[in-house]
Amino acid sequence: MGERNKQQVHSKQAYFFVICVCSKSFNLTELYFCNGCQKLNCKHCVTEQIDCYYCPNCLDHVSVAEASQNGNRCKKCYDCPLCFSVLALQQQQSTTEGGTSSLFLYCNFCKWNSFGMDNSKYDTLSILSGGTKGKELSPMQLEANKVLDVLQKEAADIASSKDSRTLTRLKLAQAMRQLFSPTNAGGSGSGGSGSGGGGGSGYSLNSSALGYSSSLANNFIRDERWNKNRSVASPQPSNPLLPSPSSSSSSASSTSSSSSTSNHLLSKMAIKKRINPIGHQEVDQMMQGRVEARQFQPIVSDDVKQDMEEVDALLAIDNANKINGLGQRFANQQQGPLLSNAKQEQLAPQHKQLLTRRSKRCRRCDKLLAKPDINPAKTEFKRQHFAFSYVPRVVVSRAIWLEKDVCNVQIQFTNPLHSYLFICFFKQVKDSDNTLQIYGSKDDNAIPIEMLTETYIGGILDETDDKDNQALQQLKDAEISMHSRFVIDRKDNKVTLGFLVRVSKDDAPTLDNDEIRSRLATPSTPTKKQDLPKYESSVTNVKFTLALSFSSNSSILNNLVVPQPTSPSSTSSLIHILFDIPVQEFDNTKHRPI
Amino acid sequence: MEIQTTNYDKTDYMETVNGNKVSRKSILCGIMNIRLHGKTIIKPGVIVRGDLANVNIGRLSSVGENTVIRPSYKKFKGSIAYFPLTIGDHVIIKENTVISAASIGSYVYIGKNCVISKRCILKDCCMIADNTIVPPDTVVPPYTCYSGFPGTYKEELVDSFEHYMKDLTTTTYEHFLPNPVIGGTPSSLVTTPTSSSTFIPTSSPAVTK
Repeated sequence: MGERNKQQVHSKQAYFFVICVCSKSFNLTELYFCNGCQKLNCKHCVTEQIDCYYCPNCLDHVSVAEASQNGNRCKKCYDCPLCFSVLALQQQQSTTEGGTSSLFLYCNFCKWNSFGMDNSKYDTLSILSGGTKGKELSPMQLEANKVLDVLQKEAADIASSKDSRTLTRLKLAQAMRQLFSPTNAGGSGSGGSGSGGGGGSGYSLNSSALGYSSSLANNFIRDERWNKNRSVASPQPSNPLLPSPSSSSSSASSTSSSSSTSNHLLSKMAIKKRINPIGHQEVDQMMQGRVEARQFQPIVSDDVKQDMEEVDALLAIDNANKINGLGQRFANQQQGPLLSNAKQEQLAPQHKQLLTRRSKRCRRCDKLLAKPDINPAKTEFKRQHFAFSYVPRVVVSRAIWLEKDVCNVQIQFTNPLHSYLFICFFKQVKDSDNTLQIYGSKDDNAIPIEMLTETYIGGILDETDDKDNQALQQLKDAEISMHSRFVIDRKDNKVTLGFLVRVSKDDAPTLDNDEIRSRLATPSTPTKKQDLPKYESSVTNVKFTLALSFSSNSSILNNLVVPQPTSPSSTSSLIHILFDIPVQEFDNTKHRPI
Repeated sequence: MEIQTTNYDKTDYMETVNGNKVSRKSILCGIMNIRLHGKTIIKPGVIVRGDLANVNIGRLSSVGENTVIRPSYKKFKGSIAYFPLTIGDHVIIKENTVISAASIGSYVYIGKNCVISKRCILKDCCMIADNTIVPPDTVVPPYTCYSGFPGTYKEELVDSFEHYMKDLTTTTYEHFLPNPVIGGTPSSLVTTPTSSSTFIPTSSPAVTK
């Protein structure tokens, strides 16, 4: 969702953002939660793979081959050249001809129609058959295809090189393991002497004994390929049952490689196979090929005269509405460049652009995060790991000034899970190099100074788990005895907690912390807005960051009695939530800054 | 901020057994053809033209102020045929919008001041931004946002939109409550329906007055 529309849907709720691991902030709905690494994934932290192409109008599934053949456009549906809405097919009333009635394209919105267009392109037959007559490519398209080819080739090269880098690393790791494992040490260590015989046992070592997942094993099989044909798109279906491409190549060791490709990593054969000596000639050839591929013909002849003509034409225009807009011209690029003085009649309807369904994978551990249904009309997911249904949802329910620069922010947490969720809040977060750091964003103008350190939220069904009962009981007791001032409301799977936030980052409090504490301890009886004492705010927005870690396992609460946990436990996931509350939303702000 | 609780006057709304809350200031024509599947909120000023064709509105949907829901039609050899209008579950329609679509799926968000023209098909999980005019016969596919004039495909929606809409509609319904009753007397003013059918059994407010 774009920023503007997001504001619309979230209307009043857009005051907080969750920070992804890559330290960019997003709305919770935009994030994914990886179960494997217990961390958040934003759109930059996932790899996407196109599952299917479909037309947004007819919702037809389009195969990859067909999509690429038609330039990712639907064969049947057209966009209006003027207003870009969908064109409808209408039957022409047969008048004078007396023959068969013909079809034409018609825009329901701006009343554009295909009368007077090039008839061979938009007559009944070509519309119904999907515009086969208009197949001949314009020079523009040919050039575009050339560019696309080059880009695809380079993208594939980059992808495969990246692949090979990780593969070498993995291979090295496995080779080391093979070397040090007592069962197989002799075979691999002696440099290929056992390359023929050790095939079967080596494979089982890969998949089961070393605990490699099957996908990883497939990666190893695929590695035989990367060397051979680099220009092939990298995610190819790899089936261990099929002979790998390398076995069919001229390589001498076809028998051993087809049976098991991944084990004899240090064998001489394998090494020999991978090294293809490249001479100067090949390098030069490759370079020349790249340079040639990069040279494109100029599409518009840069004639100065043309500009002058254009000015004249522009001056001669009497009705500005007759000029086609930039968007319209851009949509018609396929016909070749149109000048600004081109008539609207020159615009032709375009085939509708296809949309895609994409599955997302975690960039860190390659775990599948979201897999949509391949049917374009369906909205179900075969796999879904949205942060929205794994991470506690946060909503600011109330904000009150207690002092000129101290406010009480009440935040409601919702547990989306069916089990109990344990939450720890941190004032400081330990860095990787064990230095305590005050976390937060650069434009924070406030810091939370007083809050609850540990709490729990019931699940949706509120089912009790025997295992966690003790921890729960301890938390509940502590809440009643010590922390009751922080917990404002607890209901079903929701808990509202109070946070004391001080505006200004420097350590010069106008009020002593103890005094603030005592203020918070006294129940804020005047709950009505009018009864609260008004305070003038020095800032327009109160911005602060909250760090919390959550887990459905009570083991993160290993310091139940210790009031100040300093570092998050490894089993839980740590998230940062960025708050940005405009002072107008506070119950008792005196002056509303304009 | 949290969705603030909206309190309404109990006399202003009719509440059915299924939890539908229909404003007495809304105009429902041909009530026998209008079916609300429960927990749906119809705000004041809404016009639902059930006299033209059947109108079905799913669970936990809400229709904003002054919105018109009018089944679409098509001319077939001189005569006009009206299509029934189906609106799915968890749909939010904001104020001042005109709906004459053929069908609206579930988990759909329609902003304010929109026009959903004749025979449009809105699939599940889609969004129409504020001030959009969707041309006739448009199909809005799942997980897309249409906006503009005319409404065209602008961007993709997040994958968790379905969950988000579920959450949003449920909280919206839960925060739409009658004023706390003082003394507990005015309950007699509300005519609670006796029939167990899902039709709105009370007659249209225009008739009752």
